[in-house]
Amino acid sequence: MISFRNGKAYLFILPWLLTLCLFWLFPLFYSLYLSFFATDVIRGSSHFVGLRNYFYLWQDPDFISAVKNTVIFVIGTIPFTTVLALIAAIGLSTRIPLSNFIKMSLVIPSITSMVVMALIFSQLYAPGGIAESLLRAFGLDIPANGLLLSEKSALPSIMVMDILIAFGYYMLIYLAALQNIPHNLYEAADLDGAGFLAKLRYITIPYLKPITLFILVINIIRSFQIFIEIFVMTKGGPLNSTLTMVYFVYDVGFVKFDMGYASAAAYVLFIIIALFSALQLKLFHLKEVV
Amino acid sequence: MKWFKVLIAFAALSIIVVSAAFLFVSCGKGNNSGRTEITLSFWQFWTDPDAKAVIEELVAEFEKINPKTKIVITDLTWGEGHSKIVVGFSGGNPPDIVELGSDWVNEFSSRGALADITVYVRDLIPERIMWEPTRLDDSYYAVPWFLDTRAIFYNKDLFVKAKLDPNSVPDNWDDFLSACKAINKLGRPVAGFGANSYEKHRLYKKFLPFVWSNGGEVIDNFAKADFNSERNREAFRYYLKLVKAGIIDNQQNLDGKFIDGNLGFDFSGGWLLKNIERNNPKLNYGVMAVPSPSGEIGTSFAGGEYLSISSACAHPKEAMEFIKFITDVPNAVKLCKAVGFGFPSGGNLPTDPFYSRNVNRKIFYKQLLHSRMSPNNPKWVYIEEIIEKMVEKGMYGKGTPKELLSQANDNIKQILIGDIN
Repeated sequence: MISFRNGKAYLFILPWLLTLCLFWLFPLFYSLYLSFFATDVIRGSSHFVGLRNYFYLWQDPDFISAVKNTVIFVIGTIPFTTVLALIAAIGLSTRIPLSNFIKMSLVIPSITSMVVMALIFSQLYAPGGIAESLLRAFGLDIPANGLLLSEKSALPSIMVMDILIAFGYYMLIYLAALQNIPHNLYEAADLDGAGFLAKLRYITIPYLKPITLFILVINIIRSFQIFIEIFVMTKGGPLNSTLTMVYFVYDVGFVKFDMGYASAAAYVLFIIIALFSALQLKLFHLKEVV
Repeated sequence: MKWFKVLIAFAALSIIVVSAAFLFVSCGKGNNSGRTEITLSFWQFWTDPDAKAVIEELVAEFEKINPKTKIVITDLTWGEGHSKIVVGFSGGNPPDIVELGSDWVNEFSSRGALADITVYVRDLIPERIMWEPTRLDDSYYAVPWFLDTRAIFYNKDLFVKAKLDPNSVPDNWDDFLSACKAINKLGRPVAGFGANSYEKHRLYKKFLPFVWSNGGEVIDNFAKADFNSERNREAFRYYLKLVKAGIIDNQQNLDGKFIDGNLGFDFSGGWLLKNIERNNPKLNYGVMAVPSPSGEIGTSFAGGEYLSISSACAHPKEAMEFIKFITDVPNAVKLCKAVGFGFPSGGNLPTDPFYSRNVNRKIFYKQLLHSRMSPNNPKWVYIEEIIEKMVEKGMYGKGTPKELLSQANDNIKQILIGDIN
């Protein structure tokens, strides 16, 4: 238990504590407070409206679209990102030629600024760009105004981009986790005549369960907060087909300066992320893996 | 309790540092007041090196004439500037003088953030044009500084390829649509009309000129929604035909395609003149006014930069002196020349060769005189979004012009009668 005898420790963590209180806890509680008010930022006035902002959210077609698109984005990207990361990590953990170069090539997009990546992909997806040529080569139809300006293809295009960019980072985490699996387990399995798939099923995947949970939780939180890609590539369009929750919060809060309404939307997002994270922990039997 | 002493020492040190910082700032202010020097903060958006140099030159010139007034410039960007201004006002630290876009003035003046400068601008009103966005309840809250409009750029080489006469530009709606279709038929990568995709604060500026050119309105003289009219239905139907005779993309890409020679008609601003000069000076192009159904010059959208004084400014008289100086026609012309487009608010085409020897700028000026700004309404930011969403739905076939205009009109009505906050 921490006591005042540990005063020195408090002193040393004081700068961090101040930052936590000022820039994290205060905004967290203040935005909850704001979500019950109608605000006029320029005038500096506000009046209490109770739960009105929350009720309005569920009648707002833009917010409904934002929730729907965000959930589609999360569900549509996370399984692919995770599986691709696992396959790449297992493939690259064995000695293959140029493995370090391949690892580096896969990780670089995930550590590059998302703004830069989004601009690069905007060019790839542009009418007449590489993506269209690839789709054409597979005999697929190309939207008349380009992938990002078609209601049907804009969100899937961003999802594909996100998967390609993100999986390298999770691959790196899996690679580190693979190093920690005791080798004698594989040796024993070899002696028992276990094949690659049996070793994968009974040794690798069970040992990677905690790290998979970790990856899923951080990936879900990150995916629910998708913003930069949308801001740079589509601004939520066309026809709200790429409008996500954080972009909605940004638009309401920092374009229209309706801070109360934006705070209410942010808290709904907070609740959704918390629920998803709790569900995941339950599904993965947290007690077993921690 | 050694740690307690360390904590006390740390707290004391913090207090000393913070006090010293305050003292330093206060001393700075004290020195100014000691020499009866007035410092005015000026937030502005001209960050392009050529334009910034002119702003600095003008500020230096003003300070030379008014040695007791010092102007401190703060640069803003178009991406974040509006937010910074809002935060400045809401945080109680607004600038003394601020540059505002024409459709922002009402947003701030209606909330009491700007000083009423009617008494200072009475002498200027007859000399300048485009005061409408600065007015609120018969008072004035800003001075027009830099004006620009949108006109239609056309590619003469594509005219020839499509067997059209590049010396006879289409001035009525039927001919304009036919020309767009003819160029569009040349096939990709060439397109006829460059239609703006859904870009906030931009799409409505490209759509409303067709409404206005057909005699339509968004809000009537009594601030009531007047959007669901037959004239507007005609304009919307026509606009959708233009969209089909071209491509949809954002303004930057449309301008890029025009510069590359792949777009027949680009509805754009004066900035494109400089971009063409910089990136493809050999492009064979011309500028034409917005067409109207009858062939008379159509009405375009005008945008502008306005200078306002914060209601918290302690020296409005001195701030006004600076605004009068920097918006003075010869000084505004210097800025227009530096950025390569735009007009001072003087009302007449300046005699400077920058304008008189450039046929395209003359057409822009002619269009400016046939241009309108956004309706002066504090709820305009919400109304423009309704219009933009309506146009986008139309472009993607999510309803007929009749249905969409009716819905949009109902939404505008709700915004106008409702309490947004």
